[in-house]
Amino acid sequence: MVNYKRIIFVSLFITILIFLAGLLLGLSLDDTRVNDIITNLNQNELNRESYLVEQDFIKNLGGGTCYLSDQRINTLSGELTKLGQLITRYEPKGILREDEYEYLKRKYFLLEIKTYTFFTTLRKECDYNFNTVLFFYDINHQESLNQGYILDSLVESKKDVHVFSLDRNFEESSLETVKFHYNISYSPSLIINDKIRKEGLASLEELKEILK
Amino acid sequence: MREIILWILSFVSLFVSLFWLQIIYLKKKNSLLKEYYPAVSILIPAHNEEKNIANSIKSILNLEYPKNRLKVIVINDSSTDKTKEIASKFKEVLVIDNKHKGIGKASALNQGLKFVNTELFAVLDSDSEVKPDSLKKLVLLFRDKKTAAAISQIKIKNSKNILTKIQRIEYILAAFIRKLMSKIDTLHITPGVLSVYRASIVKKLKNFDENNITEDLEIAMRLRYYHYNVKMNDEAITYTNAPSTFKDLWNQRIRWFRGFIQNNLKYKKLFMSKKHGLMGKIQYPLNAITFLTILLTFFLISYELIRTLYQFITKLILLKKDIFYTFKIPTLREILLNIDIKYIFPLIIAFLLSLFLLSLAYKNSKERWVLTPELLIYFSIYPILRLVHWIVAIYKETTKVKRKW
Repeated sequence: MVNYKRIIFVSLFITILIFLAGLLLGLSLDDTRVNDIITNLNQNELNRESYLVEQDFIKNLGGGTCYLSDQRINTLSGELTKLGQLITRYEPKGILREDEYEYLKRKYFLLEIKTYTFFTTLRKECDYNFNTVLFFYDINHQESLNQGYILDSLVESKKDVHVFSLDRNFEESSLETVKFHYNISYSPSLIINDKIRKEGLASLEELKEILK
Repeated sequence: MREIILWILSFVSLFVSLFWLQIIYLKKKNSLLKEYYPAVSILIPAHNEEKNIANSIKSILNLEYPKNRLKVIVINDSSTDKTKEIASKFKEVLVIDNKHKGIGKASALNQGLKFVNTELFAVLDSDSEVKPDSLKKLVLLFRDKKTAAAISQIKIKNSKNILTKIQRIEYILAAFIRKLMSKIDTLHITPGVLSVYRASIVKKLKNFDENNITEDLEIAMRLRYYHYNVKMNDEAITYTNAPSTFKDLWNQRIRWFRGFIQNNLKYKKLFMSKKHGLMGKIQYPLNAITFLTILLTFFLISYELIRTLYQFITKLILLKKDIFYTFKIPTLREILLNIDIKYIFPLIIAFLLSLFLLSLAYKNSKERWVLTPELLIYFSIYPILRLVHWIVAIYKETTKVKRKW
């Protein structure tokens, strides 16, 4: 007599085992993803610090402080963009890692604000002609997503544009200060070169015109 | 939502594959005895089959079966070509006309059944041929008095173009699954390409259903419903022509799938019925799950297609020619890290299991298992075509479009 209940139970058991194996693999792949983000974060912080040390050295020993090649500026900004993309892509795939991703996102936003401040200072004090765009967005918001597409394309076509994206609803006190400073209450909002404030979707043509 | 659907799909595929895999290795006693020749009537319903009918009749006349135990009846189903004339040339064949006006083959078969006075009768499609030893192998299954029908293994004889070659793979897999169903007594299909029936039981159950577009599925499910057995002997081989054009395949599949829905609804009482053993507790729920899986796959693919298309159009409107700046080729590392393995891993295992099942099916059919372009199409593009067939069939059934044979 064939025990069909046993056959069903074994099928069910092995299926569950395979699913668990998938979850375990997902967890280990998640480690790699988190490490990837951490490496990028550290690299970014190091690059920024490297410039600050260099600047400090020149300042103390006498000399111009406005020394930073375009290439280094692009590197700093490019790495930050890559970091943002990594967090956006990896976060939904995380398993039981909400706190860790929340922490990494916080670090990332802080780094964005730091770098944005740094770039804005460079623009003011030195004679750099690159452009900065501070982009405030909402998650799962179509207009913010569309603005993201436009900015991605803008950055690819105009290499002197540096975009700093901030989640308007992320709970972080320094972000609140930035929002208060620029009077941000709507998404998407853009602050272009610390002067121009745009609320609502800004088209690619419009942005190209401003950033000529 | 999409993740939940993916999980359900992979769970179902894995569970079903593992279930059948265990059935393969289930040991069952083979109690077939040799030398058993009950009287059999062969019914060949034919509608405009002047090209094939002679070959079908010849294959029947070549059967390794005592001629005095065989009766061949061709039912000419309103043919407008030379089908009747060709069939009439064979003196061993009784040719009758179908004057009923039911839909399709069922009315022709019922007309033929009036002339059946043998213990068993077989149905053979007029475009099909049988191997000489197939009937004697099938009748052995009727030693068991509970057996009401027995089916053969169908092979494709016209595997010439890519469409028929793909269907050849399908038939190999179908034969294997049917063999497994037969092993656990849940087989519920008696294809027209040589199926043998116990005449007294079919007549007791009031013959074939003339309002059904898949009378072969209906009669088998009815037999199951009334607790009779349907068996398969995969050593009995028959050959048939598969549709060689998209239009023919489309018509055939829409009919089959509508028939699947129609008959599964007709015999919905089988669902989880304890009285019907594994047919009620396993096979019918599996049919229902298959149907659910098809719907879920359709929703998932439609959602992804619409989402991707919407994103693309939005980008195109927003970026115009600058859209090309957004396309980037990812690195291998990026691809690997972007894979959501917790969803993909069960799907990969399910796919590997289905490959393994297919290789066993090839072995069972004594065919060579090689990587061919049709095999790649069978796993990549063909499921989409099948899905379209299913969705159209579901649409036609729910909107009550008139059923055509």
